[in-house]
Amino acid sequence: MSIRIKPRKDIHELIKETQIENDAYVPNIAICGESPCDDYGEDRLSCEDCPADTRLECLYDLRQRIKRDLIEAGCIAALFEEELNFEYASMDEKLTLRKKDVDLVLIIPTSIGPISELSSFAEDKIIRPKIRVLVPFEFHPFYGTSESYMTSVYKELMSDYGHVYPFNVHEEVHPDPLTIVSTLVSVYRRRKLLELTGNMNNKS
Amino acid sequence: MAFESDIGVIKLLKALDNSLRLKIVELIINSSLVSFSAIHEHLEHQIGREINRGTMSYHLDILVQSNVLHRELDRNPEVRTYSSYNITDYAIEKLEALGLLIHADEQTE
Repeated sequence: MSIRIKPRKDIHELIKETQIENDAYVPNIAICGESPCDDYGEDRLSCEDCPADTRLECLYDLRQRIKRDLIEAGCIAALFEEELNFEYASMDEKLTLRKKDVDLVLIIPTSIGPISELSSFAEDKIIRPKIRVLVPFEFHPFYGTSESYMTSVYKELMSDYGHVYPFNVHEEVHPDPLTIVSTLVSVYRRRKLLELTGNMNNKS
Repeated sequence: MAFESDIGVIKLLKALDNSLRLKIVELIINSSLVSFSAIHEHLEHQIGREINRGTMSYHLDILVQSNVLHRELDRNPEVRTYSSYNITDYAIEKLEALGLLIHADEQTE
């Protein structure tokens, strides 16, 4: 190879310095959840061909909208999509989400695939603190009446970290998922920046 | 409050803060347009294990949205859509300015 890039530790130091200098933390957020429907375009670029009311109820489109909002807000955000509609979290997916460069794992568990992913992530000590669950309010342990295996997973996550948030796409009593994500991420960024500056001050 | 251009630099650096993505960029920076399959094959060979295509797409998406790579789509309605990747001028310019590129002649000095 004629060109190489300096080692990651150099990049890592530069990231820290640049973020502190610019008073900005750029989180990397993975968004897990519903797969696209069968009508989704082969080039996988957009859900925009669907009518607006269908899109409002579509949880894959919701993942896309969350991603767009986060990128616009200056974050790195990517959807984690499995091939062949595997109904479990692949080892690759877990290996990726365990890495330090991933800040948060947003997950909307509404069908068997994402639900089994969440169960698998929740058992992983490294991924567990990164998880932020957005659940339709009907299935939230405090606001819904539905009881299932997942209710106990939600309760466990809530007792450890509290990050299970009820949402309503029609934004009636419960907030819209985009509002929840925007609030959570904005506070997370400020907290991380404070941590970074705190660490730098302790060193000097 | 940071300027958009500063956020852009942080995003570019963060996109490189992952060993798989760094390997992808080192492959592409030394080539012209590289196809998804070629990147996939190269990466599996480099790390000595299988990587699923969903994981590849995830990492490539991060590199594209952080303006490190540019994606070109070759739409063929009769077969499928193929994607290929190239390094952006923006990434080269910033990496050079930040002193993160090592040229082969520098290594031998």
